[in-house]
Amino acid sequence: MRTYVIINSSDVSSVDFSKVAETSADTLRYSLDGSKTFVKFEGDTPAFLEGKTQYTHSEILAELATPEWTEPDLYI
Amino acid sequence: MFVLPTFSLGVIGSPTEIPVYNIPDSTDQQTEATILALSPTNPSGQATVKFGSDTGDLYVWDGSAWYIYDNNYAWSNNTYSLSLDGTNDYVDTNTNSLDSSVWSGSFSISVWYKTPSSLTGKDGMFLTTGRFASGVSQLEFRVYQQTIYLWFSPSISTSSPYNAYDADTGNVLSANTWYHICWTADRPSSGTTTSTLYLNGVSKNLSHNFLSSIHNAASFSSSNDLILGARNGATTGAGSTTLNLEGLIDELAIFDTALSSSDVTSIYNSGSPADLSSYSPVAWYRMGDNDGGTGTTITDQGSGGNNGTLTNGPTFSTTVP
Repeated sequence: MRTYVIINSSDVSSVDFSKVAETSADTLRYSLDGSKTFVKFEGDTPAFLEGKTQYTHSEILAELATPEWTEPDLYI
Repeated sequence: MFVLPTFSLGVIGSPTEIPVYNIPDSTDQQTEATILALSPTNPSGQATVKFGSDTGDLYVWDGSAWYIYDNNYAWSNNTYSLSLDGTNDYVDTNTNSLDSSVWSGSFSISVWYKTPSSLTGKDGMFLTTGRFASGVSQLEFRVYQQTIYLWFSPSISTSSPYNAYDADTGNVLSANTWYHICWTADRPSSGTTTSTLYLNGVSKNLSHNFLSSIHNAASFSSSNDLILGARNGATTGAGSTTLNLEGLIDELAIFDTALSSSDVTSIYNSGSPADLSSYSPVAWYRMGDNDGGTGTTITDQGSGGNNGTLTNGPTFSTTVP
């Protein structure tokens, strides 16, 4: 079971990418205004993510579907 | 290490079933390997095997005699697919070389896709290359809820209506179901492009098929990597993805020809993925089957040799079509 945590883009430098599923800072998905991103992990919460709001898979999908994360559609 | 999964073998003599593990590399198939091969006279022990590179038959020595096992498995089993969680994971092929070798002419894209448990609001890409910018080429192969969308333009005009370059199937998909989906685009040297979308081997009507007005001779050019499973938001290379696909994908292949209807029927193979070798794919991502279902690389089994890199944690699944 994966857990997802939204973080401020300014905190990306504190992410230990060996503890999360994301590949690197360069591959993260950011909110449209660039202020936020998120990471995912399995098992114990990495220390640098403790105290932050955690999302389930369905919860993060709902969050990512909002205009904050998804641009208006081009052709649908 | 080339690993053959367990499969049934027809035995000259009495029928049996043999688990086979860790056969050496396929280029060295005649090398002996010790396997858990059970010969008729040695049903519980180990044996030595030679693998016939020309016939695919197995020759098993159990210490006292050779036994010939007629290889009737026909094609390496499809054991793995790739699971995408729909948040930020994708596969980066690390190249835009198909711009000139494939997308500038006729092409086909074949993929197996298992939809997620709910399609409401789901929106993602099977693959995309290029980006939406004036004068830049863009291709997107997309699923939005129950509908499959095709988007193709060798040269985007941002002043044109956004739907000037697309076609769609209307609602054709259901949740939690495997589908074979194939897009063929015939781009003859004169005339216009003809796109056909096959779902489980059957051609589907395309609504507002603006793709038919695309000039066939226009070359395709971008500075973006071809990526699988998301829209590419990067100006060059790959990154800043959106529209990440949720579900399982398997046997994604790209061809530099427009496959025929009979080709697609054969590839669909009544719902069981077929060997694509004879169709000479330029790219063929088997999603773990040639990589032991581990690691972060999907070895391209097509002629292009553009291996995919699993990015942001896609996982291999043993749920397959």
